[in-house]
Amino acid sequence: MTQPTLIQPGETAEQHAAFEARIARGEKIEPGDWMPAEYRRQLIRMISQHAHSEVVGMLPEGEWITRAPSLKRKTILIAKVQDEAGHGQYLYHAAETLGISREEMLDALLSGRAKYSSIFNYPTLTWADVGMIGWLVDGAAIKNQTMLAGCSYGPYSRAMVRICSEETFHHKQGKEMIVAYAGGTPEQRQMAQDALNRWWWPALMMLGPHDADSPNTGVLTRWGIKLKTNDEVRQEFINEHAPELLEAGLTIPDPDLHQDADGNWRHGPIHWDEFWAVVKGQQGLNRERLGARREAHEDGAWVREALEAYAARQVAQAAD
Amino acid sequence: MTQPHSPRPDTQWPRWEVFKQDAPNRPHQAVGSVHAGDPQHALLTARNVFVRRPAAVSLWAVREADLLTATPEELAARPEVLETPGEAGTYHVGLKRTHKRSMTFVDLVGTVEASGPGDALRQAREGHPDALTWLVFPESAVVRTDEDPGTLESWFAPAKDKTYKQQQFYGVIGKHVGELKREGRMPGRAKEGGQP
Repeated sequence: MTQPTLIQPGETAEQHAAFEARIARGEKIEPGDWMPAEYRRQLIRMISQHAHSEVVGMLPEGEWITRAPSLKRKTILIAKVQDEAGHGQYLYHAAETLGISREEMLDALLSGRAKYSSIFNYPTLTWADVGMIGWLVDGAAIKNQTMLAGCSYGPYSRAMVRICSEETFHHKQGKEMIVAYAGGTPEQRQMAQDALNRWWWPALMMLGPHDADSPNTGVLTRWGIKLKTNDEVRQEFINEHAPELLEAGLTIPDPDLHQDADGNWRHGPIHWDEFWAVVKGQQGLNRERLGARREAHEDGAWVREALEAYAARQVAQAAD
Repeated sequence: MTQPHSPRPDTQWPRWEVFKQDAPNRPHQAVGSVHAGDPQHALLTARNVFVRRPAAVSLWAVREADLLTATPEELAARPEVLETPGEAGTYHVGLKRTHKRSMTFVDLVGTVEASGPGDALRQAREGHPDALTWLVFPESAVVRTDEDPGTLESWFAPAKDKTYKQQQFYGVIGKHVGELKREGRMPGRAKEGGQP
């Protein structure tokens, strides 16, 4: 049964039924294929937010490139940050296939209209935060992105396969770093524990509101964009990470965390007020992050102008 | 082909379809598209977006305006597409053969000599009647990376060993999770359900 509200003017129930039959057969929807306007709108919203998150995600870790404690850690971090830039490119390209322009998306980000993952509005206070972001934030992102690699829209799915393979390296280096510090000097252990205390809850929250409070999940699941709910992905994340963090000798800052009879690690109540305050920019570094992006965009204006001028000259010469 | 999304005029550079060849004996395959102001810019952007990993030996870019594509449904509704006029010469033929998930969506399968794009499309359909989509473009529209060793070295060698690896390739610190899984004390996923 197609929900009548999803059928927009100019669309027919037959078109929707044929589209949903394709989804049910597991077919990938490609850019030229017919798709409901609402499917297009939801994908543009999700993919562009995802792209913005990758781009803004360079900022908290990029701050530490100059302060990395060794050449090895520095080269790893540089590689990671430039990967995030590449992920932004993959995703902007995927969103463009839906008919939105790069200009519109960047304008939405820089003007503050578009959202990006609230996790990047938290400050990186110590070097251990770089490792903890890799282990927890990239770990949570991989859970989400592995699911999205199976999504029904071809270009998004392909971008996710590429991104997951690179995020896996980010996750691994973060884990390696934190495990080393957790087994290091008392100061290093303290630094790792402090980072876990600050990043554990934001990492749980970045996987999105509880299913009961997630307004878009229904239609996203119905059309094969999301194959699992926020709470399912969050449970997978905790099941993998809780035992490893404990094995590393760290304390997870949740007195209610426990493993239930089914083997699932159950977390205590999440403080969603903080999550929404950070999402809305009332708390955290939203203003600073957007300020840094705007500055980078304005500083790069001469590159765009030079490319424009070069392209125009090529066209003029070809016309001669 | 793309349905318009917003009424704003499109001020972007032209769109180019990108075809990547993974190894000398493999076909060029469509991997996505880039916006670019000139051929060199298109190839550079394509390299940065689509050849970060893993191996590739050649990239082609073709301006959107030089591509002609059609599905069986579209040809049934608008057979006049087969009359599309244009230059005579060698045309590349690409096919989409599956709706399933894949890292590419159109494989180039060869060339035909045609009197124009419509004729090339007709020959593509005759040669491959079961395809889900046919795509043709003239050889003259292709911009491609050079095949000399210097180009291969500087454009493609850096990505060659950065292969895709599955998550399980990396394993975990300690064996805690694996042991728990084998003992049945750690579910692989929170609950079963949804699509595979």
